[in-house]
Amino acid sequence: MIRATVVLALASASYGFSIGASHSWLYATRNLVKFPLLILTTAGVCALAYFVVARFLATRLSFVQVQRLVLDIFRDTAVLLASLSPVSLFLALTMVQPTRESLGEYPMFQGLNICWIALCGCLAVGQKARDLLREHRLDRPHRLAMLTAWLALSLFAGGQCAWYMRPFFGIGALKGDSPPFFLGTAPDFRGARSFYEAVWNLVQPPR
Amino acid sequence: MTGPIEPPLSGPAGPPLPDAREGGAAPATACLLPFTADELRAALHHPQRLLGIILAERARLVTSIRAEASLWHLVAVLLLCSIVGALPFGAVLDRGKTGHVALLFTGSVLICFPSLQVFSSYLGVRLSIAQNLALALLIPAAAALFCFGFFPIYWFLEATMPAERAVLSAKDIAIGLLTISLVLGLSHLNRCLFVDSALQEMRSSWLLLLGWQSLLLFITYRMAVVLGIL
Repeated sequence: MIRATVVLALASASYGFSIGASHSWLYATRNLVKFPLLILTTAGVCALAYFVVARFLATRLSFVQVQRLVLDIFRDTAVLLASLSPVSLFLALTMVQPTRESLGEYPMFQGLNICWIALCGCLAVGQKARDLLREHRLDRPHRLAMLTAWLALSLFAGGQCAWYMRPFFGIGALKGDSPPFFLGTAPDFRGARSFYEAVWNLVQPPR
Repeated sequence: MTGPIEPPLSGPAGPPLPDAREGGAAPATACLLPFTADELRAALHHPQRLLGIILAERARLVTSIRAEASLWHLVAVLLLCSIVGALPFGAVLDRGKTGHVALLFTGSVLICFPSLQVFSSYLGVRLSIAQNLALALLIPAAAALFCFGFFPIYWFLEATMPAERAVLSAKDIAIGLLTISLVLGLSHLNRCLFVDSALQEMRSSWLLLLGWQSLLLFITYRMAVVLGIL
């Protein structure tokens, strides 16, 4: 478990660095700490809920086994993302930087990274689903239900965690700014002060 | 993954247990033995086993209720779990009202329990008071365990979200999590009722179950208003 945590921290730091470089070296170096912290905080906050869900779905996995499985999923995701960090870094350094007038290629960079995170997460979860079948003889409906519930919990808590720890990468036009390490509950450009408000504002933009 | 599988709840000399996949293993139900008083007592010393007894080992739980083996011990365990499991969430929600979440779930069920007993007897469902009580207490016990799982998440959200009123406040999320816990508690009762053919009698009066669960939802809502949770 310690080894998995170390690998996770190194891999996620590497990816965090590459996406932060799209804004500045300050962001990139901060992400060396912030990105692993984001993943580990999410895993820590959800640890009990992961276990209760696993029990509810009638698996006989112990608390430690559940945490190990979850950590494996996060680690695999982080390693897959880390393998994309050279690409991400290359794009970050060569994209058309946003200005006050135009977003440049920033939406492309942001979109690609969201796709990569989703792709790597799905691959890691899919792989773990196969492991669960092989090693714990969990049947398909239970595997799917458990992994889906874990994903939903991670998104629910991880979204707010990412919001609180933002910025991870941002618009280059703000390069002159020196934001705090965490923006916390500071409102975004639409006035949202939490992840859930930000999602709500996307669904129903404020007037 | 090479970690050891958690030992059986009953220890090496206990009754046979199904393999890692217990959910959906209804055919294996017949060969399962009920929980013994010793197992239930041991769970109080090792609270992590409560999750196994209440959530994971549905088939054995139903067998215990059906066979009325150590049933009052089981009722005591369910009651204790309903109260203690909900305390951390209550403490995070409002330190001055730590017991309110426990009261919300357990109190509502206890208020509605007499109606379940009387109506089920009237409609010819032959379950004893202890059996009905154990079935009813499954709801707050399962809900409390989910609250226990959710309390670190809620604590984190409350600590990182703005305190003043917003589109979505931490309190709204607490209400959402409590609702999810209650719904999962209700679904757990229904799963237990459908896992064993011996509870056919109870299942056959689905109108009673539907009506009683609707009543419970309404009373829980009113209880939440009275306790200031809503």
